[in-house]
Amino acid sequence: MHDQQLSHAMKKAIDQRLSGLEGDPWLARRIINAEKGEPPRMKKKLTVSLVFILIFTLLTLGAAAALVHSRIADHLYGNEASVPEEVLSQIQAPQQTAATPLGSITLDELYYDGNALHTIISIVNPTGETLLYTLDGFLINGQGASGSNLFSEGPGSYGWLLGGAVKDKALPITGSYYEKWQQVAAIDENGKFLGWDNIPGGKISLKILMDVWRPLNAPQLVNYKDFEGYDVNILMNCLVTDERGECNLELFRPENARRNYTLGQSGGVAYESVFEELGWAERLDTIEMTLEVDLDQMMISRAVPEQKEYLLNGHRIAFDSFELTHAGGSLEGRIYGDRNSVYPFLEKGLVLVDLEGDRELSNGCIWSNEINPDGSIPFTILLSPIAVNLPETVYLAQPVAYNDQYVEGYPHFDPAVKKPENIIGTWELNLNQMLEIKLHMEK
Amino acid sequence: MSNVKGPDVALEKEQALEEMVNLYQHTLLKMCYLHLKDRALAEDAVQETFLKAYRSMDSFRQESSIKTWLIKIALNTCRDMNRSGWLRFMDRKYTPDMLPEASIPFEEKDEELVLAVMQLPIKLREVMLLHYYQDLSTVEISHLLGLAQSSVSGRLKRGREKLRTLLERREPHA
Repeated sequence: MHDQQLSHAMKKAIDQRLSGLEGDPWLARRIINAEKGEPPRMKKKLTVSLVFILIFTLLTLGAAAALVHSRIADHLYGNEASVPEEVLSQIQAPQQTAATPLGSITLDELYYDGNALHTIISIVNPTGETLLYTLDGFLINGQGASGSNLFSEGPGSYGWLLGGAVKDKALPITGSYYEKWQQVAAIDENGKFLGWDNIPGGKISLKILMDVWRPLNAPQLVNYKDFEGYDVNILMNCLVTDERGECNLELFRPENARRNYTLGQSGGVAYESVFEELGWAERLDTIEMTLEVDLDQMMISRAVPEQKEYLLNGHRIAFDSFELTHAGGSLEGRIYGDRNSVYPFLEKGLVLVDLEGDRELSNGCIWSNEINPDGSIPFTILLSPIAVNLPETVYLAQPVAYNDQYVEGYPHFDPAVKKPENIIGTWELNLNQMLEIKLHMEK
Repeated sequence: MSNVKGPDVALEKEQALEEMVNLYQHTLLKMCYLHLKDRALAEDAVQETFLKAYRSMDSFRQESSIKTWLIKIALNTCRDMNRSGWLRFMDRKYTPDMLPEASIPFEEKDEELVLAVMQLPIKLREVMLLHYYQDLSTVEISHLLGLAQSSVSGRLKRGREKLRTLLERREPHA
């Protein structure tokens, strides 16, 4: 078969046989919403951690003060066997509770890794009736943090239907969830959203607002997998929950019910009338918790490089910031040279590796098309959390080729085949052209 | 470092994203499906691809086409997913009834070709899909995968041979 024939045959076969893969008409909108702070919906990943809801009892809630086992660590390290003691020791367990007769919220765990604030919050419904709890605000120094604000622009986010029974199935009366707050909203004096900014370090004031709603029509219990489309709100004129009590309001909020509001206004207030019109729920209460936190106290050791200019493949490189911690980190640098040679160089990618530990440390490299005043081109390398000891020497390298046959668990992995020295993780590297970077620890 | 952006820039980015999604979502979804062999994962990969593209739109320099850029992000995303623990426990045997239901008529040979492509080793499958399905030249593929052109040509040659063998095996014996 000629190339052209094969190309035609393959296109026809794939496009016709896989014509059932139709895509998501709301994809762009959901991505935009995700960037505004609402987590995108992921359908299948082991990271239940990212989507969450761990059901647990009041007994374990009471015993959680001693952080023998941290759920935040679970989210950072997943299935890793070990969790760095340093991280574990810095995760705070404020155990601060705020309550009204309609519910209580407790900040179980809190951790700041230098970039993001990780939280575990639990909710308890003491009333015996079925109530809906939605996070209406997570404010750092009065500014809304990313991921917060249930009713931010566009559809999205979650609520928790707790207590009572739906379709003869008892719903849990407590729920807890993990969230990672990475940035805070910058707003003008009129409350208009301007964009996102970094979380300030040091002492901050944290305010958590949880709205409480009473369902108006009898809620329904469904399997979300049966409703991958977005028309379930037409089929069901009521709140719908899964068996864990989680309400994906993104699925059930009609587009035409969207309300415009400013960040200075509570989303719960803005959507109160919408929920009533839909016959879903009436707003009863807001549970409010405020606490002072010193983020700097939670800082852990970080490995930083010697401050000097480095040379890789003829390109001069300087680091503006370079922080490698047990919780991840990032490397921001500048690369000098003619853009016609620098951009192709960057396009090949840059990976940070620990040769001794035989592992990749980075999980992405991005760069900017805006050139610095000194003519250099800025780039950023994102670093993954490390469960084991931080390395004393790391190497910045360009991958020669992708090679995953030596990665355990991959289909072509054969434990009997010895891995060549120049394969680190999934990358085949040119060991003769790598940048050696000595690190020292700072707190 | 502040990353606060003005509302006009944000709106332009949103419009650009919508256009990209409209133009390339379907072809990327099929490519990711053939890479990951799982519909839900492929949908996640496409979502992740556009999310990454949206985030790094400012650094896209238009030296490659948007399509090539998106394919590169999608491939990296699929590779990351392939490395995840979840896939380690997946049954990798694939039969016709496991393919998603088609929404338009197809011939039996189309199904056979799709299944044969899915059986190709991942390295060969990648270059075969990029060249014959996405119409990328060997030069573009070499840039995209960070491989020498000779390696790309070699993989294409081996891919064609392997595909022919797989299709011959599937043909009923007289």
